[in-house]
Amino acid sequence: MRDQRILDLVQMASEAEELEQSARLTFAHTPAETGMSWRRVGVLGALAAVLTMAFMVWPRAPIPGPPQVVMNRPKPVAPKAPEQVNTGPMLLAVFHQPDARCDCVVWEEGSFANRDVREIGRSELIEAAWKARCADSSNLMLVVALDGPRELLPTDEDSARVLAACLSIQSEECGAAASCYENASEFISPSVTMVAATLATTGK
Amino acid sequence: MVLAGSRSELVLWAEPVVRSAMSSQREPLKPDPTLAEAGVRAAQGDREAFEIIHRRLSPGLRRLLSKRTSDQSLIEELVQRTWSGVWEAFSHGRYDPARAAVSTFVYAVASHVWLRHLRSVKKLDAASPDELSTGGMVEGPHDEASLSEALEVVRRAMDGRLSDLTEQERWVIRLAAEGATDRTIAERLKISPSTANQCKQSAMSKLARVLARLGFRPEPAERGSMERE
Repeated sequence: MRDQRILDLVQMASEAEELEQSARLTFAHTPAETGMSWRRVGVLGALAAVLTMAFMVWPRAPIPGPPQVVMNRPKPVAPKAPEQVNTGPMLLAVFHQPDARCDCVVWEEGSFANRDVREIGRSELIEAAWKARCADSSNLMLVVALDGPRELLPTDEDSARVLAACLSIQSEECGAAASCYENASEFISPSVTMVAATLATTGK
Repeated sequence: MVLAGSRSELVLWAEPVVRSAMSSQREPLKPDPTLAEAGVRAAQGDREAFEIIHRRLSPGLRRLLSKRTSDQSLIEELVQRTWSGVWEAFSHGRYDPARAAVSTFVYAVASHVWLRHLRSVKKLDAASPDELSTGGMVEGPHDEASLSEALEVVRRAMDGRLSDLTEQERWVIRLAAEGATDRTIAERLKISPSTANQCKQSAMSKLARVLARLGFRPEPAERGSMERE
């Protein structure tokens, strides 16, 4: 029975960790800033509306319009937008050496196909990264799942390395504390949803 | 896809490529205070900090509760009760930021709210002990503060900040907590079932010792705190 209680605690602790990670999904302004911003938008919008109304009702001499020309043109065909292939959240795992060096990076698409990134739990993240691990001697694994407009996500090896480097910058001060990595959101567009998890490992 | 390289190389050319690869990169936003900072302030009665915590944790709280019930109106009610409980705890000084992260504390309050809900619908009386086996593991007063402190210890142990759990032990116990059998764990980690069992027992002993040092003994005191309806 004692064993089951401990396992229950582990499961609950894992859920508490997920709850904390969910807080990192929101890259929000502070309320004061947001309020000010919307007030500005509101004032500008109201001003624009007043000017438009004034222009419409202002008395003015009638201006003869240009002679109307009717042309038979072929109906324009709207260009077809290139089809966006969304393969679901992208997985990025960064393996750190004991001296905080970035050992290697795993970048994968399709690990979480058709999944909402916000539903991906810590253990899923870590398991996916562990399966694809590229280093056995790292002492910290940072795993991130990202989803959002494709143009804002790493599209090739180079941009994946860049993002990994940006996240790695945090590692010296963050260590294994996953919540600390929220500072890395500065490198990521607010339109991108991100979940992160860390796993401290002992290496081999 | 595996990309190898040292961090120093990466950092050297990181900045220019970031700007081109992420074309709509804006000026860095002024971030909200971290949850930890907000927790400290909220514990001192700062309402604005409480609102920040509320805003950032509510979606996750709904998601957690939705794993236990599909009744959306019930979820909303439980979320409201949770926040009411959290605010009350903050107001009465029952949350100590030094003992548990604010997210852990909110989770502990939510688990008690869920437990009370289960009691109110007589689930606990109807269920056999084995049917409702989750939650409320701390001995003594089953308050949110004690539960959150115990959970915080386990969280730290599981991410390597506390205790001497090896990497393999952390993996094994995490899988075991999700309900995996020794055989399943062995298959997934490519170890023998007996090794999986040894690792599990060793991990649980270490966790029990860590909890005992803090005065917690995982006894079957309460049931059903976050069990599904």
